[in-house]
Amino acid sequence: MNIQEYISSGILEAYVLGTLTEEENEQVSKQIDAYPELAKEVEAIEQALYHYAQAHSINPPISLKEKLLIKIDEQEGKVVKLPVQKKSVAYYLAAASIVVALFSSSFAIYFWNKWKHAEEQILAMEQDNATMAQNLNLVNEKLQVEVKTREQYIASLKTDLSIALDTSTNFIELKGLPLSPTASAMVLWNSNSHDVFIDVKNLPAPPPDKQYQLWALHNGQPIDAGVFDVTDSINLQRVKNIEAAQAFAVTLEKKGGVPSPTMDAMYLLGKL
Amino acid sequence: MYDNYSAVLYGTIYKIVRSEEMADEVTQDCFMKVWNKIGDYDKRKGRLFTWMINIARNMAIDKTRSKEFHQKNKSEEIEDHVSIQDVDYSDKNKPEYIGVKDMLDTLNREQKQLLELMYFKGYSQSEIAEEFNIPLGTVKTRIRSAIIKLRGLF
Repeated sequence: MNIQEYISSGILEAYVLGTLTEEENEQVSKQIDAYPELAKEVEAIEQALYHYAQAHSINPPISLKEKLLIKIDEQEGKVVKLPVQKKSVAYYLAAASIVVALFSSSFAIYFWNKWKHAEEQILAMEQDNATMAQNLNLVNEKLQVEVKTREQYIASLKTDLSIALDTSTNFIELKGLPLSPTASAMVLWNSNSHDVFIDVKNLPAPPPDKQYQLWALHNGQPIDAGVFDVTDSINLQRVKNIEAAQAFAVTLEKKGGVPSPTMDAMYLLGKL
Repeated sequence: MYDNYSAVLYGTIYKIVRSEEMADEVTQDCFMKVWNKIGDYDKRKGRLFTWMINIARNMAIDKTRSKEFHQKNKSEEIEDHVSIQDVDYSDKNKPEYIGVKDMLDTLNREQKQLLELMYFKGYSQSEIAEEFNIPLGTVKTRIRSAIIKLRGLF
């Protein structure tokens, strides 16, 4: 069949306008089913005539709707009452089973949703737990480090105390020389074990390439007692052992220390 | 459904029967018929609207061919002929269709007449051919071109 020819014959317009005979209508229906192009054309004609009719729209009187509703009510009243009596047990069973099916499927959906939701919640809670455990571990580790630091500090304080309480320990107070008049230091020298410790106060921080060095003076000769750092805390720093001394002095030297002191860089001096 | 379609069905029916009283009656009957026959509507054969408007047009056109109509109309003939052609639709129309009447004016006289004959008078293509003494093929072509022109308007 030539579709274009069929379309331009005008039969589709007559079809939509409803002016064909019953027989013709059936034929056109079949053709439309067979050819999508025809269905498309019919759709366009329907659309055009829809607008054509819309162009003639008039709102009916409001009373018309009421009249119509009354009419429908009357009719439905008549129609509905009759079949009611005819409904069999099977009808009610079927109706009941549909209701039950509807209820149970909606319950299923409801619980499925709940379950789904609960699962999500559990997952979220598990994640929370993991995060909390991690945090707890971190805190624990921090605490352990802190405890260790404190234990070490206490141990060092105990050592310091035992040194201070040893009867063989000599306390030598070193005083600031003109380079740093407010500085001072305490040197603890055990004449028995020959251990030497130093604790300084108000000594200016040395430049990065220098360090303070402690000297023991024995019979007018300076003996290297090792370098030490300037710290904020009260802490006895252990330096090199000294066998015998009459005085101690501190000079500023290059980092790591030198064999003999730079005399004009002397900061502290004290005698036994 | 009533709210969606009542204005267009009523307007079309009114245009055919040309009296409010009869348009009321036919519109009611039409909705009752649609209500009762909705099971007959076959989606594959076209839109619901096309089905409904064809029911409305057929019922209204049948009415105009009835005895009642002719008796009634005789007495009102004179005033009717003056008023019908110029019923003022714009007051009662839905806002979106204001101006559509002007658009219809772009159809030529012959196309307008053909559409009115078919849509509101219920003439078949062959009836038009006989009445106006034009070949059937020509009538078909002209109606087709009128509807094609309509398609272009919207």
